[in-house]
This record gives sequence, C-alpha cells and structure tokens, in this order.
Amino acid sequence: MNLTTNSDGPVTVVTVTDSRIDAAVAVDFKEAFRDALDGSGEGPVVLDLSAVDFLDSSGLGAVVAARKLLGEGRPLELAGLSVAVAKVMQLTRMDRVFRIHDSLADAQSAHRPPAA
Amino acid sequence: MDGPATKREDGAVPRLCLSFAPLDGAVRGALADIHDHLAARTDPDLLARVEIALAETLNNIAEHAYCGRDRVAGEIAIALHGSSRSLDFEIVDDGREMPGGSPPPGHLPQVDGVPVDQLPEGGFGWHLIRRLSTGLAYERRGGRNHVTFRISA
Repeated sequence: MNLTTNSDGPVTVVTVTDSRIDAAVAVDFKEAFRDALDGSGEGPVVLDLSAVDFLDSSGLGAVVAARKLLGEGRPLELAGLSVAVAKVMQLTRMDRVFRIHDSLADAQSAHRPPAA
Repeated sequence: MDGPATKREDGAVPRLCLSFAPLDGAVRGALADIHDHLAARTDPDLLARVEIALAETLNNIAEHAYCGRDRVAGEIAIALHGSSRSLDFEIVDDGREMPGGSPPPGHLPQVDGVPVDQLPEGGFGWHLIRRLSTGLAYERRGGRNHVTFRISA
C-alpha cells in the first residue's frame, strides 16, 4: 500500500494511490498511514481518496483506525469519494464522523486562510 | 442493434457463474469479474451497491466460515442473473455453518457522538448487506451454505 504525503500549506494531505482499500490491504493501510504521518506536525489531515474506487468495511475500519491515531484534537477529513466509497460512508453514518470534501482542491480551499 | 456492451433500460443481464477459493486475492478477482460483467449493463449506483454487498458477504465467508480451515481447499460459488434494474445473487460455500442458522441482524454500531478513541472499527458488514439488499435468505443444504439476496436499482 503506497501513500504519499504533502505537508505544504495549511493541511497535511495523505494521498492513497491504490484503487481499493479492502480486507486484503486494511492492515497495510494502517501501517502506511502511520509512516506517512511521521513528523508531519500538527493541523488537519486530508485523506485524498480520488484514486480509490472501492472501500469495504475492513477498509473503513482501517480509516477509522487512522482517525484514532491522530487523536481527538487533530481532525482527519476525506476528499474525492467514489460512488461506492460515499455509499459506505453514508450507510455506516461515518459521513457524520468525517468532514467530507468533493475534491482535494475543495478541501485545500476550505482550509486556506482568508486573503488579507 | 445493441451490442453486448451497450446499456439498455431493463435489459437482461446474462447469467454469470464463478467459483474460487476463499482467499483475499481470489475474492478480489471475482469482484473484478462481476464488475466487468455488469459495468456496461447497470448504472454506477447499482454497481456500487452490488460490489459492496458482495464484498461484505465474501469477506464474512472467508473470515468466519473458513476460520481455522484450509482455505486453499475451500470453494465459494456465485451465480447472478437479472436485469439492469434488479439482480439476484446466490452465494454458496462449503465452509462451516452460520452460527444460529441465520444471518446476524447487523445492527449498526453507535457512531454519532462517540469519542474518537471509542469509534467502532468493525461490525458494519451485515448492516451494509441488509441495507443494500432485499429478500436475504440463508440455508444450510448438503453441507454447504447458501445465501441469496436481490439488489435493485
């Protein structure tokens, strides 16, 4: 499981490059997320799921584990959900736990400080 | 004339039968085959419902029905047929019987207002299957588990 991290700007962006987060890779995802966040500092984290077509309940559990890793004070937000990923989030009510953005660009502009 | 890859309203979906071992890679392969079979014949929302319900069913089988058994020797079979509006699935496996002889109720774990460190990381599978399908039935017959359900647009 490959994750890329970008800490430029107001949020840390963790991008999933695999097309599935499922039972086969849920454990890998948790470990890769921990590594990706290593030394990333503070502030919100946006998980960019634009490349992810599919997430099952094992994958959802891994995303929840990632949320716990950050702790109460550091939010994890999601961006770029496919039809299937959005449906899993909605049916499990996790869309109330995670702030969800239509796209990574939307997530970044939501956190951009207002122009002086 | 419509070719096989053309989406038609209420078009018939040809019957598809697959069998594979209860291993993560084989489950992925079966889901990909079913996706390919349906992608041109159903809308993306129905396809997503099918893929979620099937993935959860197959994960449950692989995890629980074959727990402590030789998975390489196991066999899951899926048959599907229907139309672009409604699809019927039968999933058969030769793993152990479902405890209690029926599928779990699948109550959604509490999520709203739960502190971050107590958020549930599992227990969603049967909730998803039940929310996405109708006519869910289970039968133990001839040493095999038979799960059937319908998924409609």
